[in-house]
Parts: sequence; C-alpha cells; structure tokens
Amino acid sequence: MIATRLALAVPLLFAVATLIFLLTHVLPGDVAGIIAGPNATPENIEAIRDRLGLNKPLWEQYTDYLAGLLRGDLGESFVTGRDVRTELLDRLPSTLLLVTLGILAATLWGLLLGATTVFSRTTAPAARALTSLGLSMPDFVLGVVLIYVFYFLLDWAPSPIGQIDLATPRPPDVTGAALIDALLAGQWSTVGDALAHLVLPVATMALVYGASVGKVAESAFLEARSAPFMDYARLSGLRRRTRARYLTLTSLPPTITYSGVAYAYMLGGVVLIETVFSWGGVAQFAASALANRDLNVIQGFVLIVAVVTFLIYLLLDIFYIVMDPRVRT
Amino acid sequence: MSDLIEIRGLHVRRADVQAPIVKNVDVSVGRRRVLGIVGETGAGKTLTVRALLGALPPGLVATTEYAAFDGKPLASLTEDMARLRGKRIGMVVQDPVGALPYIQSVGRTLTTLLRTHRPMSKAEAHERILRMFEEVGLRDPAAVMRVRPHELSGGMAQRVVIAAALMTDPDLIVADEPTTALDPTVQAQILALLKREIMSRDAGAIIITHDIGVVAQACTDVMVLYQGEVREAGPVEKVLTAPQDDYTRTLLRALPDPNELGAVSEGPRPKVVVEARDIVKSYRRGKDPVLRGVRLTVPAGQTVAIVGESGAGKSTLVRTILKLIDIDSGRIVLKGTDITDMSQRAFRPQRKDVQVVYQNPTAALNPRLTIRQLIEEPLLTFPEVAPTKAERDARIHELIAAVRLRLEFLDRYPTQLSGGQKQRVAIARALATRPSVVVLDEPTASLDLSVRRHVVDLLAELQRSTGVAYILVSHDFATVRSLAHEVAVLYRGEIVESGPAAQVLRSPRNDYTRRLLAAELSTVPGARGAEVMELFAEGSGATPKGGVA
Repeated sequence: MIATRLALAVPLLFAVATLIFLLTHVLPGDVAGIIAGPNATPENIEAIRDRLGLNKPLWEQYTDYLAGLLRGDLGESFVTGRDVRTELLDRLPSTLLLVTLGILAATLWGLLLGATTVFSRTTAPAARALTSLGLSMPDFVLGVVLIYVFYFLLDWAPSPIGQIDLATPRPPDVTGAALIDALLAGQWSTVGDALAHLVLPVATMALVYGASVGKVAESAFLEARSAPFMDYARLSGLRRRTRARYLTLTSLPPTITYSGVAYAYMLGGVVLIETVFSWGGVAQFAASALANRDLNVIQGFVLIVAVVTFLIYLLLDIFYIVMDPRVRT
Repeated sequence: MSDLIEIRGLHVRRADVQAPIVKNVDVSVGRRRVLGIVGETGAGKTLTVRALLGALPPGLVATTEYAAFDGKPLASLTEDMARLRGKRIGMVVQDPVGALPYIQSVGRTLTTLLRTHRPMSKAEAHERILRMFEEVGLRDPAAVMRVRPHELSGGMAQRVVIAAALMTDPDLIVADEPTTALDPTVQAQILALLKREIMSRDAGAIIITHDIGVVAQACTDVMVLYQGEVREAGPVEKVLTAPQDDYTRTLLRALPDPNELGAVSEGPRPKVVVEARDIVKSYRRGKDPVLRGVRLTVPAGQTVAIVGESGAGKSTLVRTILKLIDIDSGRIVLKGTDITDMSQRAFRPQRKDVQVVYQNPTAALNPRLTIRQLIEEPLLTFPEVAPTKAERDARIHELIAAVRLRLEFLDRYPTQLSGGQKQRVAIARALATRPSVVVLDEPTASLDLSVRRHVVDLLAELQRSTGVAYILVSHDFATVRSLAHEVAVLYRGEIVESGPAAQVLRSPRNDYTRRLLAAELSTVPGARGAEVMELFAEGSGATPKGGVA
C-alpha cells in the first residue's frame, strides 16, 4: 500500500507541475510590464520579455520548465534575480517550524477542548465558549488582538517583528529558522528570544485551529465513549486508568488525521500569520511573489507545498494502519 | 448455603420520571443454577441486569428493598457492585468482537483484565490465559493471544470473552444474549461450553435471551419479563411445560412446531423463474472462490430456502442473482432471459421483476420518507405498473391492506412503527411492482418471536395470492420450515444438498445438513443435543431450590 502510494507520487507531482504552470500563465496581467514598472518604455518591456523567455510559444516555455524541473532547477525569480530554489529553501524551514509548532499546539489544545466538552460537567461551558471563539475568529484578527494585549498593553511578549529581536545576536545561518540555528550554534540566549517570538503566533494558531480540531476530537471522544468495548470494560471492572487509555487511543486517529489535513492547509494558509508577525517565511515570500507576478517563485512554491503535503498524507496513512489495524483489511 | 445474588423489589426509573420502567423485580440465583431472563425487545431484560450489576446507563436510577451478594447485604448497588464486577462477576456479551478493543492484541486486553482483579506477574497471567483458552476450546491459544479481535470469528471471539469471564474464577456469570449473533452450530457449542463451565466451577449464572431455545437448553430457572414486570418465574421444566401466565402462554404459542412443514408443493414442478448455473465468484483474483459452481433453480410461485452457516456464501449467491455483483463464470437466467452479461443499464427495467426484503427494515427504509412515499417510490421508478396518480394510489392502498396495516399508517414515518410493522412496509414495497421473485434475506432475524410468526404467515399468504416466488436466506429453521417448498444447503460455496423441504429437513442425506439441523435448539426442556442434555441433567438433578424468588 505504501509502495503504491510512493509510485503514485511521480504522476501526481507531474500533474501538479503542469496544472500550476498553466494556471500561472493564464493569470491576468502583463508580467514584463509589472516588472518593468510604470515608467518603462515599450522597448524596456520587450527586452524583459525576451530575457524571461516570455516571447516563446507556450508549449516551448512548458518544455523548458519541465526540463528545468528534472534538473531540480526552478528558474530565477523575476524580481530578485536569484535562484528560486535557493530563495524558497532558505525560507521553508522558518515556515515549517512555525506550522509544525502551531499545529502541534492546536492538536493538544483541541484534544483538551474536546475532552473537556465531553467528560467534564463543570468546565464544559468554558471549553465550548473557547471553541466558539476560535471558530468565529480569523487568525489574523486574533493575532493582532494578542499583539495588542500582550505586547502593547502588557509588554509580556517581544515585539512582533521577525523571529528574533534586532538587537539579539544572529546565529550563523544554517536553516534560516532562527530557533533551529540558535540551537545548532548553542546560543542559548538567542534560543530564549526565538522561543519568546514563537509564543504569540503559535498561540494564535492553537486558539484558531485548535477549535476545529476540538470539534473533531469531541465527536471522536463521543463515539469512543459509546463503543461496545468501553461498556464491556466497565462491566468487567477495569480501572478508570485503563478505560481512559482505551478512550484516548481510539479517539486519536480521527483527531490526528484532521490535524494532518490542517497542517497541509497551513503550509499556504500560514501566510496571514507570517504577515501579521513579519515572520519572513516562505508563505509570505510566495504571497508577495503572487502580487509581483513572479511566476517561477509561485510555481516553485506550489510544487514544494505539493511535495510536503504528499509526505504528510503518506505519514497519516502509515499512522492510521498502526493505530487501527482494521483498515488494512 | 445462601444464594449468590439476591435482589428484592428492584425498581428502575428515569431520574426525572416517577413511573418505573422496571417494576418490583426479584432476582435470586444460587450456585449451580442458571437463571434465564426472557422477554421481547423493550421488556426490560437488559435494564434489570444492568441495574443489579450497578451499571445502568446515565439518567437511570435503581432502587431495591434488599440486595445481597453471596450472603452479604449490599448498601449500594452502584458502589458495591463496581467492586465485584470482573472479580466475582464475569461478563459475557452479545457482540464479543466489539467488546474487545481493536487497538491492541487480544492477549494484552485479557492480561490487563486478569491482572486488574488478580495481582500476578505478566508471565503468570499469560500462562493462565493460555490454559483458559485451551479449556474453552480455542485450538491455537498462543496465536489467539497475538491477534487483534477483528481477526477472530464470532464464535472464537465469544470463546475468548468466556475465557475472560472465567479466568478470575468468578462466582456469578452474567451473559447478555451470548449466542444471538452466532450461527446455530456455534450457538449450540457456546451454550454447552457455558453450561459446563458454570456447573464444574460451582458458579451461578444469569442469561438474558429472547430465545426460548436457549432457556430450554441452558437454564435451570426462568423469569419471563413483559413491560418491565415479572409475569412468571420458576424452574424451566415447570414454566415451559405448564405456563401459568397468559403472556407466557402467548410467548410459547408463538413457538413454531418443529414437525410441521408449512409449504408443500403438489403436482409437477412449476416452470422455473430464476436459474443460476454453475456460478463461480471470488472477491479477489487468485483467492479461494466464495461460490464454486453453484446451481440453483427457483420454480414460479414457490419458495427455495438457502441455508448454511455464516461465510458459506449465501449472501453472495443472492447478490449475484440480484445482479448487485458480477460473477466470474456461470449463467443467470431470469424468466428465460440470460442476464449474465447484461449491463446494469440494460438490466434496470427488469429490476421490477426481482425485488428484495432485507433483514433490518429500520436500515432499509429511509427515515425521512412517509410510508406512502416509501411504497410509492418503486411505482414511480417503474411507471408502467401504475401509470396514473389514481392508479398508484389504488395500488398503494391495495398493498397496505395486503400487508395488514391500517390506512392511517401511510402518513406516518418509519420511526413511528414497530419492527414488525416496518418489515410489513418493506414487504409491501418489494411487492409493489408485482415482481416474479423476491429475495428474502433473513426477513425475520431482527424480529421478536411473536412478531416473527405473523410476518411468516403473511409472507406465505402473499405468495399464495400473488404467485410470487421467494428466495429465502435464513438461519432460522422455523422460518424455513414454514415457508420453503425446497431447501438448498450451502456449505463453503457449494450446494451440498438440495431438494423438497420435507426430504432435506426430515431425512437429510448429507452429513453437514444433519449437523446443521442438529444444532437447532429445541424449545422443549432437555429434548435434544446429547452434550447439552447431559449437562442439563447435571444441573437440575438436585431439588429445585432458591432459583427465582
């Protein structure tokens, strides 16, 4: 099953590459014109068009693009003129770090909300209120609110600009993600600062996306609670601890699956959080590329997201087989 | 010697309602006694037992005048029983596969269970479980330890659960419909096993069942519940042979007479409406076929019953005839037309000729449609049956009357109907397009005994009046005896015996058929089954004492 999945990856990525190529090339707007700026002469624009190969017929651009892909070459950024692959991979770790921690926090928060709603009589209303809050609040709004309260009013959080303070010594650039680089370099004060900068964006994601994880966890807990083996466990006198273990293990798969889907979504969706917190991640970069019609960057970004998404779904499948062996049959 | 469990004046009611659901029930079970609690769906059997186990669903409360376990009075059922469950009271449930958590191996579940109640090392626990597995007749104990529950058959899983119930050496076994989900052959084995273990361990037991056969074969005492009240209680021989209460009598009258065959065909065999020739079907290429060259012919206006245990291929066979699944080889001929290679689209107009009634009417009827809409649906699908609105209405009225339901039912929804009434609607729906053959897939399995009889009578009557042929799939020999003109015995994908019902059911030639028939539980106490008989004698030899108060 996993082998067939891996074999599927090739045609899948090819299809994604083709689709994104076509989509970016039918986007309205003259790329060369945008790059040249409002004061450019027609000759200027024509020169840019020539340089970028935009004068070639579409199919030729497509074959050039595919040939590049096979070599691992995503082309140059129209805007910065640098290699797209380097540009994206430099920024990807920052985004992955943020999304991973954010979804992890959202999952834990969601499990807590779901379990509280189902099992606690006294605190269930509070859990429901927090769930509704998260479901109704867009992440960028909540992010701004948290900045206002915890940075501006209380001054507990560091300034919401970038991954570390401007004054903090920068660790040598290995991955581009400040926290990881600082850890690798053993710069502990920088680690502390990087962690502090992560608190608000991660909390924002936990509160917003944890709410929907919580809804899934709630129904998973409800279903597990009425499973026949829970009844049998009670009737055959098993301890609370054992029964709690059964419940958790049966409720985890649907919840984790949902979190995995949310993770894949957040690779692109995190752009709003990255923008609010000036994170400098790959999503933010891709969003500005979209505004600038930087076609190669957009294509490269979509491909990277496709690969990561594919890997996540593969991991989810493996996880599911381990947790619930019935799916194998 | 005092009784193992003694409960007097048990009432169960909803926390917010005064009127009790279970009224004034007394239960007492001594050692070497097996109390059967019988009654129809909703009679309060399970609630009674859950109340005395102190494990009622939330929102229900139980009160008792007196409660004691093994001579010691209990202050609170909920708290005191929670300490006894598992340790001194072993539990056997209806759905053993579902009772074992799928997240871990069977061995791990049982080890935890054993060590919760009897502190011992893991190695000791393993050894004990292996011994228990052997004792309950599991062939490869070590392998059973390793598998996950869904890899076990129902019968094997039930043996595992029985082993789990027995391994802590409990004094009382409580079994809730322990054999309902099992094949008749497996059912007889499981009952014999339960009975043997209870007697040899000097324990007592309570068995909840809706099946008089289980009571007759496995119990020493019986309590008949009806709408939350005890209608009659006493030793099995007395209650089943000389019932005092009217309801008990009705319940026993509903029992089919095992010697009576309902459908007899006279004269030459009518022409064939459905013919299946050498059907071979396997679900996965290269795997063992589920059907290996099955031949079946269904004469017009008559009933052919397909019997056999789970996994024999009964459902697969009828699904090929209904053309719900394709076959690997063979031919299927419907009213002279070979439909084997027909596309679904080409076959669609012919579907009005083959209809089906399923086991579970609640699942088969869309709960959002009224009964009128449900019966009208096939008429709208095949408008040639009743082209105009007036004709459709007339047909609907005709059908609802034919299944003996009043006209006002037409505007109700399925949830407002009882199980038997819903099955009548399903029958009306199946007959709406005047099919020449109807597949009845376990049509009575989900129904209570008294209702079963009515539905079977109705089916027979409808066959006589409409001339429809039935293909009946059933575990229940009573249903088969009442309806079948011919019987085909399916065993591992092959028909091992077929012929007129009288011949196959009364003088079977095939060994497997004989075993299948022998597994049917007699409803006469101590009537049949050498092993069960012998165990039964062991328990009832002593003067009936205690038992049901």
